[in-house]
Amino acid sequence: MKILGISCDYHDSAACLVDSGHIVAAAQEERFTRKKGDAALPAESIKFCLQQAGLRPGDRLDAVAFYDKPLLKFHRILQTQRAVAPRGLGQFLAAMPVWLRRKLWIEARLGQALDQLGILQPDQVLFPEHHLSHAASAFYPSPFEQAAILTVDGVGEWATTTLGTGNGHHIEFAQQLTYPHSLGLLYSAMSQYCGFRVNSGEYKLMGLAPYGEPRYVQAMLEHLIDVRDDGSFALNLDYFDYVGGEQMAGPKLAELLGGPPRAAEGPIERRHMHVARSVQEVAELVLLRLAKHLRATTGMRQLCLAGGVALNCVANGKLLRSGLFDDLWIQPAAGDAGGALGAALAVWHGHLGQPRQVDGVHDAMAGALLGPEFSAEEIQTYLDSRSYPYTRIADADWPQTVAQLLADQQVVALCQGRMEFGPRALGNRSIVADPRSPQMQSQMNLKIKFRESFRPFAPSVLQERAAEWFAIDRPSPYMLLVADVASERQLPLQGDESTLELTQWVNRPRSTVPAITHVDYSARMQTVSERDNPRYYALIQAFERLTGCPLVINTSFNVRGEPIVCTPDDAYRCFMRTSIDVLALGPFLLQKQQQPHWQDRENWREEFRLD
Amino acid sequence: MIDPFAIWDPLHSRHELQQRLAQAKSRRKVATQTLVALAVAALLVAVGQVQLARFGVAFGLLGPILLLVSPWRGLPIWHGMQHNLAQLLQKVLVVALLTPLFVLVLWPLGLWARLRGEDPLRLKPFARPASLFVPCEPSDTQSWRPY
Repeated sequence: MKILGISCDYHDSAACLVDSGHIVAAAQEERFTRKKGDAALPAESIKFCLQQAGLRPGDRLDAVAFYDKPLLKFHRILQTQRAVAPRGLGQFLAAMPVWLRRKLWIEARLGQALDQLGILQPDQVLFPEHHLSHAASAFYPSPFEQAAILTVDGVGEWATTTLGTGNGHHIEFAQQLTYPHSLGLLYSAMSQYCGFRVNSGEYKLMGLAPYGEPRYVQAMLEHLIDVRDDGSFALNLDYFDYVGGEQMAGPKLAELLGGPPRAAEGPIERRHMHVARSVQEVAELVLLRLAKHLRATTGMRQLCLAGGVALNCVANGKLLRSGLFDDLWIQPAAGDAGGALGAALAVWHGHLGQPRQVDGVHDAMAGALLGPEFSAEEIQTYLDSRSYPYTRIADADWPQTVAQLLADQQVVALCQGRMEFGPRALGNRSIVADPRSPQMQSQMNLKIKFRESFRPFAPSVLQERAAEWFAIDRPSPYMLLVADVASERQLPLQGDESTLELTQWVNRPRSTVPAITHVDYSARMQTVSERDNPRYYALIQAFERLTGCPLVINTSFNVRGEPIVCTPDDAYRCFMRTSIDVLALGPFLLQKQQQPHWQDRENWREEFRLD
Repeated sequence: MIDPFAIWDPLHSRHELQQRLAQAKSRRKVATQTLVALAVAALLVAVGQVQLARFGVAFGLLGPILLLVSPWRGLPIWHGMQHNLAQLLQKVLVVALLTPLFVLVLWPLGLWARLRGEDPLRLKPFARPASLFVPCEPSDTQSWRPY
């Protein structure tokens, strides 16, 4: 039985195909259309999922699941307008044409998309609630037979936070918080205040936080957010503008935080760092209280997390270390893209009552490698058609060859196997490099990613070596947990860090693997197992044999504002536009110096809207 | 071979006539969508979402107007008009149609609700209980409809 899950119309459109409970394919539309966070109906992702499931023109899907209830969402928008009128006219004028032309007709639009692919109309189109889709994406693929479930995001229909339980194939919600009281929107408002884009810049705020001090925590708890002992909270909307206005943060927020918002691309001041650190601590406080309440009320020993806030890997790491739950499982596509997956699984298990198969150890996400892949023949045809010079490496030699390049301080881009589903590159669409180099972080930020120099890089470490290098005692396969670099590998602070310029601070080594050690000694590590990704595992293993270091830098294969590459053509273009030294495209290696002169428009970076 | 398009209207090119056919199809679509919008409103009344239904009726009537004025719907009014001008006019029409709705419907409804002491978004920062959670209904996980 084939069920197509869809999320679209807000941000991060995606499609997923579940065949009798097995996740066959999942992909985000941005990867195909090359528009970051593309919200359009995911026609290309649908096409890919149908092809991957072997559906052909004339075939029929058993069901289509859309990840939220559009009419309930419309209800919330109208109620909000009614509550804030006469404010909100601008928001109303901007929202209504889009709703009336597009969003209300999602069922018909999905039908048209399937029609264009020659697929017969499905037997049923189903609409699970937004947070049920998140909860399903967190619980059903998890390795747990039963678990508490926490979903936290900006907003779905009405809910912004839900607390529930999963047992077998049943999910039940017990409590929720509703719009406009939202931890996700608080974090987004602060991201916007610090000059980052809403819905894509939140992870930068998290990255900026360790540079600051928690100076505004008290002010935030006194004025912005009323947090109760059980983790429930209410925002003081006097400080925010998102309910009726066109900005997230209101003018009073600037007064509270001692200055105006940072302009996009403006200089980052100490104040912005302190704000980032403060809101991160407030978010952690709320999440820890919610988790404590959930543990007490459900008695469950495992916790599943989803919703955009679950991508806050710093908070996730603290939640894990709090010991409130024995184990955590976080959906790797925890944002709205994962809603497509959750909707399809909710229909299979929740609506159709089909049981789950769990072993208590392994999840059902296949390492999140659920996207398209390109065979060696397809890649060779592409390279030959463009006359790009390459060397083919035998599979047995590939790990050693690439590892040697890394040890020689080359930066290598990998495009191999199935593309990752979710915001993280996990070794198949990644740029990798030697983490021991003190200059690598700045070099990669400025010359390869073209992004802010303060941003840290993440390491991929062999799973069985992780505990020797980081303060973590379990796998983190999806880069969703942050832990400190092991204390014996840390270098002592010199005491003047807080007086340094940001670039000087970033460039000061903090451990024996400085390129992946953040200023607070933390690292957002990915543990790599042979089972999930044997080729990537073999590469890191070969790198360890050469250098004694069982980890590499892993950053997504893209430049700032660009979606992660999908096809060999995307990969080659990104390779030639940046200072990446070598491109490993399947079994083929392409050296930058051997490539023909690359002609591009001078303003090619304007293709991508900065986040 | 006789070209049926030429016999039907010899003064126009095949392309123009195809456009007219597309426009007719577009108008049928608008009519269908009107019916759907009104049906949605009726459905919402049926399921007790009276407040939403009230808006649904308003938008059921207004929606098709907006659909008609959209330049990509291919109506003759937009033919030959510069793209930017068409966009500007569309914006003016959207504002002209929606503003009265906002001012005459939403605002009075909001004022009336506030006079009756309603606070649907729980905006008032006082007199809050120890816990701010809202209980979930079983229907939250059992309904598979779009509302």
